[in-house]
Amino acid sequence: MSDPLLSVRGLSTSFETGQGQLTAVDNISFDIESGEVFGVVGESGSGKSVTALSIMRLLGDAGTIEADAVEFEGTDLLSLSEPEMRAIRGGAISMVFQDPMTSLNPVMTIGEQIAEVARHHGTLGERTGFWSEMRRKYLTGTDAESQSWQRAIELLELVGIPEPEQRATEYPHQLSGGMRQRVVIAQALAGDPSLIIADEPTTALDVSIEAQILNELLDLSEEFGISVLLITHDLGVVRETCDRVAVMYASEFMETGRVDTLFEDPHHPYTEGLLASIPRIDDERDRLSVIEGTVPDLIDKPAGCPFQNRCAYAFELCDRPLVEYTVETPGTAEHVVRCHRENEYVTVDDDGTVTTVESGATDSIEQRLEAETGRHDDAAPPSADARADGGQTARDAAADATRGDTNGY
Amino acid sequence: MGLRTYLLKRLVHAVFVMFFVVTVVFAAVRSIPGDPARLMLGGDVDTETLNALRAELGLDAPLYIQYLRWLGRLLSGNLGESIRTGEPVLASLAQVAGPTLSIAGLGMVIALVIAVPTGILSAVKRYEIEDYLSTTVGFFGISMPAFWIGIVLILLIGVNVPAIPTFGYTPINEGVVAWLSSILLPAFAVGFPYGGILMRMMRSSMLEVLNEDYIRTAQAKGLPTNLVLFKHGLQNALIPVVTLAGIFLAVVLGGVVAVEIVFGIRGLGRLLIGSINRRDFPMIQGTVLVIAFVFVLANIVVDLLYTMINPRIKYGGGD
Amino acid sequence: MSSRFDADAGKVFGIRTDLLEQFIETVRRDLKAKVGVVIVTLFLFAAVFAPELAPHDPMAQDFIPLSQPALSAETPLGTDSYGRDLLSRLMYGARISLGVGLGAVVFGAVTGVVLGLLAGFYGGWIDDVLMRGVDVMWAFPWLLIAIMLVSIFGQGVWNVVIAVGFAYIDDFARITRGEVLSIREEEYMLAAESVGLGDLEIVFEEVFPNTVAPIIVQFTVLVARAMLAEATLSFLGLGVKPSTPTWGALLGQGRDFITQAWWISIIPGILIMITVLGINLFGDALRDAFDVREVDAE
Repeated sequence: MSDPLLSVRGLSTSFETGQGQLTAVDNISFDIESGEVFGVVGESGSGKSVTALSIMRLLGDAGTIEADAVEFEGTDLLSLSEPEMRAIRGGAISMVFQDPMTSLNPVMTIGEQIAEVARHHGTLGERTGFWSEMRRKYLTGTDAESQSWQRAIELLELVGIPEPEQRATEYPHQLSGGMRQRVVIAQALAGDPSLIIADEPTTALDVSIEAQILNELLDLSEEFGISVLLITHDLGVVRETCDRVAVMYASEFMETGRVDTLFEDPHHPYTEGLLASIPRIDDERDRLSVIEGTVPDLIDKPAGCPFQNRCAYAFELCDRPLVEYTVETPGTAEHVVRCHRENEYVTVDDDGTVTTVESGATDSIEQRLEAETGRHDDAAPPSADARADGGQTARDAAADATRGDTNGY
Repeated sequence: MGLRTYLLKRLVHAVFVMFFVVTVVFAAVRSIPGDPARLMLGGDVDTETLNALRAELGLDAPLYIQYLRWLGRLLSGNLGESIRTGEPVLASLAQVAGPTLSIAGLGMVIALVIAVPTGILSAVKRYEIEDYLSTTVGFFGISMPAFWIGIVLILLIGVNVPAIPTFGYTPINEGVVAWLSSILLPAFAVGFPYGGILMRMMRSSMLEVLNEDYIRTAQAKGLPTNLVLFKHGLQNALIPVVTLAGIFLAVVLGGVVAVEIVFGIRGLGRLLIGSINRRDFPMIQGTVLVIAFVFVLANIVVDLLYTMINPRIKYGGGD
Repeated sequence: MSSRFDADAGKVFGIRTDLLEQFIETVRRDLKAKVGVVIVTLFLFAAVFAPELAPHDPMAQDFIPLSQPALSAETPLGTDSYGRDLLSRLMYGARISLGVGLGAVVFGAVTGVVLGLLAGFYGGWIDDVLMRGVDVMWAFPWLLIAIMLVSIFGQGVWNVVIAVGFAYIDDFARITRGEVLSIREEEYMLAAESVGLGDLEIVFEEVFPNTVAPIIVQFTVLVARAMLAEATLSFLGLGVKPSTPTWGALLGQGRDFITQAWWISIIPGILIMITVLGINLFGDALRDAFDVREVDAE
């Protein structure tokens, strides 16, 4: 098996707020293979968007990103300089955001918004210096004969926009919602990416359009071998589109594995709860299944499993820090769960409750913690050399991210 | 909505405003206490001469006739004659328009040159020293009346730098440098308050823009910061500023009039004030109308600018 | 911020005490706000207590004309060309300038708010007519209105108040109308109507508490502007009656003596600047405290 396209190990992101330190992402690890569609599913406030922004280092000065490794095509993204990172953003890794009306610039033609990506990331040989761009924007407009413009038209056609030559000269407000999102996808393709990170790409769209857009993404992924990191809160979307998925809760990954495996045989109580709460037509119950309780406070976050106060199976080991356990089911791909019931020293009966905890359990946990991150149990800060600070413009990217992500319950 | 429709609406609006102004001026002048004929001729005058003048001025006709005649004359460009000089009002105004327009024009340029860069800088370096300095300067700008700035400039610069005159105006045909130095201080006095207003707006507008999703997209596309700011951000930030620039043109007007007094410049403003003091009604009337007209024109220009920078006006449609 | 969905929050007898708390909090942490509050307080103090505090009668021509400021003298800030004590004139001037500034804004506010309420509430052709009228108004510079009023009615405080305040009607009308319109859409308004609250009750219980914050901010900002406008008018000799000692008038009177007796113009000028600056800082602090989005960038 070849090396994964993206390999994230022990990624943590935190923000300093007036009330304390907010842990938005806590020690998550996952791989994305070439050509794979990997989903991250969770409720609002779980930290999914911040994860994406952390990988892309778009949090500016607001967020502190720490990780053992964030490797993309063999390069550690966290050790790159800002100009090197900019070469990757929009190029090898591109993003699709949630609301196409606000994520496209209202005063630029959609053609130019796509063309500039091709210009800056491709090998088209067009001038991309500040003054050339200023001239292009304010004086002459983009030359319709130029290669970047032609490329934009090609891409518009590729994503299924009719009359692309005409559309390219139009502004975002002149298009419908579904078309705008297609434009955003075209924009994401313009730099010839190996990975597209799509953050809730269809949440702002009508259901009927949603299917179209998702299919579009899938087709493109298959045709060009582009991996997709799909962030969503919608399990239905996950089931329809993803190969593998990570279930995220309160800044941590709870369970990761192939979609079919997870849906058929969920091991984590949270995953079980999520799946159970999807209303089904053939369900004979007359009440919706609900996970009781609320999301824990992410500020000055306590150690241990974040789900324990809502979990039906909580037991004495649950306030220990979580570690990864691999579910050994013969014939299936890797299925990882972070739940202490999976510990080999713990016996669980048929309906999932814990019956016995042997004395080796806590030692085993400690060994795993050491092995996992090279950390000691009293939570000293992780390796400083994997640290990355943003430092771009004075923009409150994090405030934005946290605004959307922490108003959960 | 479409460009043509928008401009048409604005033009109709402008005509409407002018009409309103004309009517109000008419009503105002007619409301001035005292008989205009008597006022023109002075106190001691016999009834016959008085009536003759009244007939000549058309004051004996019913009000609506006077109004229509008034409108007619206006449309043919006749603004009457000055009581004091006997000269046609329009001609006198044309003579003094030069200085006023020069000062106002240069003042606005100065304002923009101050406001836009400092506003952007302030927004980008929010809470840092550049921001505090710029905001402070902006605060002073909006707290000082133009004429005060003029007086201070005279005392500080005019007195110490002989090359820059503090009195009078040199028309451009006598030399560009001379012209510029004669309007430099007054223009600055006019432009600084206006610039202060615009700078604050530019800053807050830029801050808002920088928080928008499309800026995040631009960064996610790997564009360098200067492009993010000036190619993606600037035009959006300018939109509300342009609107505001039009609204606050009244500040420029107030400034120019006062500044002409301070610097002893024979412009529209000084003419206006003088004619008020001399109760020269045709002149007052004429000047008010012309100034209002210039105002309305300026607002149309602002509207045009606005359509240029906001594509939603030019190209409606979609959802 | 303003609790749209919890209309009873922080109200004591219908007054938004939560706003007061927020303001105190803002002042505590922001230096600029403190400066603003101090200046405004001093100014108000001087204005209100001028008759008690002023050493001399502002109109009395008792002293040697054009004498220099000297802190030990009877006229610490000097005298003007008529031999009147500048300090006393300045203190009374604060009163008048404040009065005119407030008066103008109150005029604009009351008229504007009423128009805005009517337009927003009743909609339809009333809205159209009123808004058109208001629209026309703001195209018209205040100076020209002032000039015409002065031409007709002569100089005087009331003319200034109306002329300057006229330009502000539009601002208040717009804000109020905007708030009314957005509140009309809110669910709880429909709920209130369905419960049978009368129009007036709705206005006081629901509309006012939400409009109060932006109106207060706008008010402050405009008082500063009004004072500048009055200063300009008085400077031009178009404002209050000639011997009335508003700061702008003092500046105007001192213009001819600027080289011999700079204090007659400069001191009032500095005072205008500081006071208006203080009011602006105060207004900014209010804006921050009430978290009002751009009311008017001024």
